[in-house]
Amino acid sequence: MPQEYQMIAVQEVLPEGMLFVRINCILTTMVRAPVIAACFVLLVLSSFVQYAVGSPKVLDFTIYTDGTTHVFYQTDVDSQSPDSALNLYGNSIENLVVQDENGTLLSSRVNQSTATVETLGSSTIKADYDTPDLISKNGKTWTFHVNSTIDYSILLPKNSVIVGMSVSPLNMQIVDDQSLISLPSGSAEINYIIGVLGTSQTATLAIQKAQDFINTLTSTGVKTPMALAKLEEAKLDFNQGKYSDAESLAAAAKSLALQEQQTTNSVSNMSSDNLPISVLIVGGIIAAGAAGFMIMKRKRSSNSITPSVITKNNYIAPDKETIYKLKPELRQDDKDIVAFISEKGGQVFESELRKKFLMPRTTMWRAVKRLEREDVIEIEKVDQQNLIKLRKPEETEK
Amino acid sequence: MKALAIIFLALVGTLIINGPIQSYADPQLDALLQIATQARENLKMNISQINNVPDEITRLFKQGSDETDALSNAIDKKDVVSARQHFLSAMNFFKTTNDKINSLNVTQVNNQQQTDTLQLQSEITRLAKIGETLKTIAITNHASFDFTQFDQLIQKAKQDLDNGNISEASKSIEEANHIVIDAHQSLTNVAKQRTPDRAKDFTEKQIERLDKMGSTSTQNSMTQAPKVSTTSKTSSNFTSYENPKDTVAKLKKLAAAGKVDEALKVIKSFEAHQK
Repeated sequence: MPQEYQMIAVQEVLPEGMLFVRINCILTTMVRAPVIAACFVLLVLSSFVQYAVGSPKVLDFTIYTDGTTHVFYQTDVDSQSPDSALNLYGNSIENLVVQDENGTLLSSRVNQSTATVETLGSSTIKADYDTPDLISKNGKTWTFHVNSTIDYSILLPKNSVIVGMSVSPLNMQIVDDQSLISLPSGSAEINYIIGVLGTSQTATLAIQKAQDFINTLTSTGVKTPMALAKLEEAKLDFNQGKYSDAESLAAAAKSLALQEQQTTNSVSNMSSDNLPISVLIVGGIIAAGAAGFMIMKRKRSSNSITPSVITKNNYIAPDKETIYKLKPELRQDDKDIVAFISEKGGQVFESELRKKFLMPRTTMWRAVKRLEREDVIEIEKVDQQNLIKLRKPEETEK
Repeated sequence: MKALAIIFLALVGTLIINGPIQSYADPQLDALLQIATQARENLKMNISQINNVPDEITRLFKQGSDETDALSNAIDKKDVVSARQHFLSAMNFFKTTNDKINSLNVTQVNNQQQTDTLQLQSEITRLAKIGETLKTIAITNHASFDFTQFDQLIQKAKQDLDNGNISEASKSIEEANHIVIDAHQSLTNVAKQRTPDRAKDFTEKQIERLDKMGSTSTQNSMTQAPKVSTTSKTSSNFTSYENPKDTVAKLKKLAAAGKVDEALKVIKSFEAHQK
């Protein structure tokens, strides 16, 4: 009551228009302010604590155009235990390196899809390795499949487009022309195509095709100023990284060149009506001769491509279907290789495989090594070349 | 006043527990649309290259395209659940469409030069990355391995590829690959060589830790009834003692005899028993 009395006294003394604040309201606000501040501090701290205490696991997959996947996995381990078991993605593991939180290299032993790492007091391990087992290929579609217990990210190769996805991504961003996708834990399948329309590769092809067509026309005396101008625009867009536009412009350049050719032909047809028949006959003979020469040349070149004759010392080629049955887990591209070797009588040179599947040396070497590990093939050195032979089913079964 | 404070604290508490999880669970809707649209555009162009497109392909593609439009509408309405459903449905239709196109086998581009260049570029990137990782590890671990030749080969491969010399680039890449294999082997050997020293340090630290644990438990047992030591057979046929004091004694004995491997097994079984 004395407080109320004082307040009234103050109110009476106050001049007109002056703001009046009740004392008990100030007191309540003063009490609440620290509570609110404490709550905000708690909120801010919680995010830091969750970041530090929460799952520190990191799992990144980097996919390369030859179907190899680089895996980076970081996780916390028991620092009191002398070793730690690490589940690996895939059975064929290459270039495995394991480091601790300080970058110290740790010794490890790989057994199938598990690595035993001698952690010896480390609290975190970081593993880097390559595996071809996460990707399969059917036609020109590549499929990445993984079953992860934690959230992870995938970096797809350049010039690739996703055409199928079994899960909703958490995020996606473009990093250096590559799609970086974050995915939730669980099983996921991503289907993608490399070198599709709209990318630099196909834009290059379109420009090249248009350029070749214009060059051919120019060599026959057809002038194509409009097509050339359009092609220059395409090249300009390509240099600026506008591949889709470049491709459209290149296609337009080719169409213009075709139009210009038709215009020139219609003009020349009008004048050629007066040409003597003998000139046409001579022209026809020259064309036939040129065609004959080309056919001869092609035959010769195809003969020269044929690799050195493989001597078959009573070698009986195993049936590809038997191999597929024994090795159902083979990748589609590996099955294609097996099918090709089988068609060729069960043995081919590695160089033939490279030519058939349009693969560079190292990529084919890895594929061959993979099949060798699976006991599907064996490699023999013949005249400093690798002769790839399909193993007999009973050998494969072992 | 008190009730208000309690409600406010409860609110903050809920935010602390659920906040980050909820925000993490929300997918980036733009990403969904971006992926679906890219797939649609790509398939559209692929289909345009086919003569006499089968009805099934046209139908499947249209269904995927309709689902993409529905996805776009769901995103406009900020309907996350519906957007996800339409995305998965669209991608499923696109995948089936793509499989059907693949079975026709008409869109294969057989340009060896292009394929080789793309593959080799990827190979160079992959090798360069592995090389960088191995270099960093070698420096951190004071392991001597000369990467000069590797760097030169990678540079040469890049130049050869730029000049269209695919066979030379391929050779350089192969040589660089061999160096990576050698470097990896060399670093693996370094790790193996250093493991016994690390194992010894680890054993000593564990003896120290268990010693402290033992003395603490002894102090505690002064006021309590004495704890009976139980033994258990581990998978490695080593007898593990629940009492840290006994384990320390055993470890000290093994360490003094230079049997670090056996000491590690004892530590492992002790840790397993503690859990």
